[in-house]
Amino acid sequence: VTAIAALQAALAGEHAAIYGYSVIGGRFDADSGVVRLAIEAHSEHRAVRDALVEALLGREESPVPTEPGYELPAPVDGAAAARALGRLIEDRCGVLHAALVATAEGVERRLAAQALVDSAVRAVRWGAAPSAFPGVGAT
Amino acid sequence: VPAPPISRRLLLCATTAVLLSGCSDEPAAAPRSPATTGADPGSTTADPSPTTADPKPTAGGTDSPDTEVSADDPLVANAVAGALELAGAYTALVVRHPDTRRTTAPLRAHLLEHLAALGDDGRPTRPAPAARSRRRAVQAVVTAERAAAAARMEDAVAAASGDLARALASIAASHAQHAVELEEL
Repeated sequence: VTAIAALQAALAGEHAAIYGYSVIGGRFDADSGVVRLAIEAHSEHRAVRDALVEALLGREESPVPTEPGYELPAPVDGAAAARALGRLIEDRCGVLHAALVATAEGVERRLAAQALVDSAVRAVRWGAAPSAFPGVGAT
Repeated sequence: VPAPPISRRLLLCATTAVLLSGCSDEPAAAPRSPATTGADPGSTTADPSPTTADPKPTAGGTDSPDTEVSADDPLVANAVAGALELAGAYTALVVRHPDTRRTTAPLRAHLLEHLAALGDDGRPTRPAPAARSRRRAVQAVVTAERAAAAARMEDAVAAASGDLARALASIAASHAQHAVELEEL
């Protein structure tokens, strides 16, 4: 896997994460804990997305666009489902960022490593058990 | 000088097929300092660094197949020392505050997994006693976990090997998760 492919894969994951959190954010009372977490996560994933876009543009690559829609694994019909979706999003993003860490260097690697750490932390906030090797172990 | 780094590296390859894929059968070229295989177990500093970090390859050997591994050895030693020290800190916490065991046992087990993946079979650092105040004792471990996360992050960025970088970044993420989990104690 080249660094460019890993950057694009991570960006595609961030697009999906942003979509997922916008779904959660739109379905619950604004003052619920789930929505507070989702809004925070949404904004953090947007920042990662922007940094990945910038990295790809810096390499004169066309950043992969967001899909017109995403299929959610399950309907987000309650707080438990929202938390499960949050854990899934962070797990998947963690795997993509870990792959980018292995192929990228310098500022791109730092971006990916920080994103991996942040995804792992959010996964725990969504109720995941801590893991010995987030993004790398069998998930 | 005996050559423990070789078996250590073999162990690394054997136990971490997922973590550190891509270990080659490269010959052991430059002899490496035994000081990079672990930190002083009596050290009580929060972020021990190898005492004789000498990542320079042997003279003129910049393209030797061992260069990358040698340059990364101090980073592995840092991670080992950090995990050993934290494992000791968890022991001290549980000795003083036994009711924290339930939450901390799985976290401490992760540290032993980190050590196994890093190819180390060292012993946890003999810990300083935990604070009498439960809140302060827990907070001390939170702070240590955060420091370990930050240190592994920096080492991941610095690593020559991409596979080691991924392993260290993942370990950093594990430390960061521990800090969050502990804060709920």
